[in-house]
Amino acid sequence: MLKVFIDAKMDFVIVGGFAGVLHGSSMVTKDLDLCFLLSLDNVEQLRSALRAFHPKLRMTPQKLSFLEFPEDARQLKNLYLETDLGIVDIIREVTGVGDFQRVADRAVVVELFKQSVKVMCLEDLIAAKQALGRAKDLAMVKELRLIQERQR
Amino acid sequence: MDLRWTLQGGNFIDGILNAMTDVIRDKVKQTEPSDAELEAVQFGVDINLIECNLLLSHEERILQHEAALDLVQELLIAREARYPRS
Repeated sequence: MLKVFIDAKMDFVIVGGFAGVLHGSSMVTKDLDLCFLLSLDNVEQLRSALRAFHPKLRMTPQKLSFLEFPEDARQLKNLYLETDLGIVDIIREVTGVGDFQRVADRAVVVELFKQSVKVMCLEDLIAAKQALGRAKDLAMVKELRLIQERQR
Repeated sequence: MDLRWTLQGGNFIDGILNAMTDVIRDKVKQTEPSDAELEAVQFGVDINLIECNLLLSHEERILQHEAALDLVQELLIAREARYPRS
């Protein structure tokens, strides 16, 4: 799933559990969380990249197709999608950290599948996970703090 | 007679013993777990898993995670086959 976004060469930041994995966390996460600037152009690019994988708006009762809804993408705040490849959540801003620009400015760049990809920095990821405060997030905070210490 | 007092009035050997004690104290200090390690262990984190992950490249971490996710998926399918939801 992640490779689809990388291959589409879109500007995004990997956040959430996958960012944790990239920093060295041992926790397994099912959904891919990406922080995007949800401009009209980007939404069209997203539709084009995901077209083959039948993206659906998983929070709508009828599971509407993202390829057709919403018709007016300006009203989009976040996108919670279900695709043939798995779940992907596309968010404009990260709780406890800030909007796309803030997250992107502080992101670290890593090499993945021969391309440079932005990943939320460790400090921001810890802040985000702490802000969410669920048991699984706090468990990841413990791992991330340990990783942070090992990197000093 | 105490052997130490036969060399330079005892100061030489005492100095060596003190220096050795300092080295041992520093070594012991290095192996004491940090607060982050203690908190992680108390929370059930397997430190060895983290250390293994840190030896991998970013791409290897993603591929390893993908393999773990595939395994979880297989286990869920096996569970569903064994205990079908009514």
